[in-house]
Amino acid sequence: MDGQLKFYLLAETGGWDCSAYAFAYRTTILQSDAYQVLSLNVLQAKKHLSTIAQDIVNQYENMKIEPKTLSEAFVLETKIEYLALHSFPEFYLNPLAIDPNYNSEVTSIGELMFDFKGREVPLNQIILDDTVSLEDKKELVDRKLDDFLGDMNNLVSISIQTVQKRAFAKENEKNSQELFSTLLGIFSFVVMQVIFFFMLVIDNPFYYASYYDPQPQYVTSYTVFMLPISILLFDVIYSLFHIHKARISEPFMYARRFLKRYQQQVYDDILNKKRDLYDYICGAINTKIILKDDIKDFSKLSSSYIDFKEVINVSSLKERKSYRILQALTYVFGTIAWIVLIISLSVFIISKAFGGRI
Amino acid sequence: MTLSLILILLLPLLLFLPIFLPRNKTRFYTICATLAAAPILVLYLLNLFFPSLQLQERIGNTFFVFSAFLYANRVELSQAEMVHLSCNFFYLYSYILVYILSYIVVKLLFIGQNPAIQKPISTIRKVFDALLFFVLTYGILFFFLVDIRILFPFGDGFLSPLMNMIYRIGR
Repeated sequence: MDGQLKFYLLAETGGWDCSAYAFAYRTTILQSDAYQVLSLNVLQAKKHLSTIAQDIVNQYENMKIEPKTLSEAFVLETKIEYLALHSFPEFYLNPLAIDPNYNSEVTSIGELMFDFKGREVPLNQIILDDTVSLEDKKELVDRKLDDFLGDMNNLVSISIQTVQKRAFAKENEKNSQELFSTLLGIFSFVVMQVIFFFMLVIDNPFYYASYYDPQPQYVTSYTVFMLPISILLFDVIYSLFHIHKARISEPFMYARRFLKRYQQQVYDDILNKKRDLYDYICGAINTKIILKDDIKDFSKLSSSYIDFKEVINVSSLKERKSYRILQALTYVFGTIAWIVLIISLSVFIISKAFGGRI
Repeated sequence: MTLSLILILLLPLLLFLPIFLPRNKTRFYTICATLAAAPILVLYLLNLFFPSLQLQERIGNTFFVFSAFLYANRVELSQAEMVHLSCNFFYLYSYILVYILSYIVVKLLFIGQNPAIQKPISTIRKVFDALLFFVLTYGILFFFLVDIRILFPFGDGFLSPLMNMIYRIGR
């Protein structure tokens, strides 16, 4: 804020209406370097599941750039500058929750920012600092690692809550409703095969005469061929849909089965990793060797237990184009197969009852 | 339309499932199919190696009422053929029942392996898993359809010699 605006700010506190200047300043804020940097960095921050990263994203998305007074403009400008600074990965990355596919400018835990003597400095700088005792450094690191641990435990809690719901249940749909829909689909599939099987084994020479002597004037000449073709097509599409659904939801389904039984094991595993990280950093502090190329070494995001990223992003599964296309095709071919089945069954029953081809 | 054609069309359906399904899912279905097929295989092998027990006849006669509605009025079938059909339908019912019960139990107990861990799995292991699933589903289905093919309104087709080796109609 330049000197003139500060003067108007002072005038505003004295009761003058300076809202016009606040409104005009909005454009300056939007075009500022800080806002441009923040807008760009937020796109990267969205990909990280750490609480700090998501907090920055939420603050950015909920920010109202409509200052009505110069005081609001001043606060807004300061907030944007603060968020812009903290939107860099060094400020929000959690080494316990790094994506295994993360590939960016931060390559070491030593580059992460820690609170040190009232300032935010990289860990490597703390390691090399001679003004603070080793014990104080270790205590500082332990406090920060507790924050990382809390953040990761929070992710686990969210995952445990997420797996309570079935993978393909809609937003407001209960598990029982989604389960009922799935079972109805399976039941429909099975009943169709059973009816077709019984139509094959129950003796009806009038119906199956059309296999060997198809006559265009008889309905059986069409149904006797259309039915197996439509059922086969539905079987193929249903199998493809089931395979695709199983493949895309497997990490979530595995996590669901695992977390239902081994929750404590997951928490213990993360705690052990935090202790390993603490020992690793303390080793660097003791020997005054800076940390390099180790940013992903302590991640538990995709661990030997479960993939938390897949769990938390489960809601995106049913939005996938391939899933929706196959689901639609299943409904279409299923409907066609059922219509042909009902017609064929009716013709079958009638031909058996009246002892002749229809 | 022949039985051979139907069996050939069903083959890719049940062959591609274990190849493209996730490993955990394939294992789950294989466990259920193994539990379902085990009693049938035991009875079948007992009947094969100990024909004096006449297991097939005894089972067929005992469970005749459960499937008689399908073929009891077919005058062209002999008593032996009806007993044979009854036994095979018993196998079918027991497979389905045990499969459903296994599904429920295994669903509660099974967790599987973490799919995020990309351990290299040998080709032999993959082939074995797929083959086991295939044998316990398509294999059982194949034998069942061949054994009851006398009920179908169409012929055997090009696999007739193989089918006659499994069960010759008219014996």
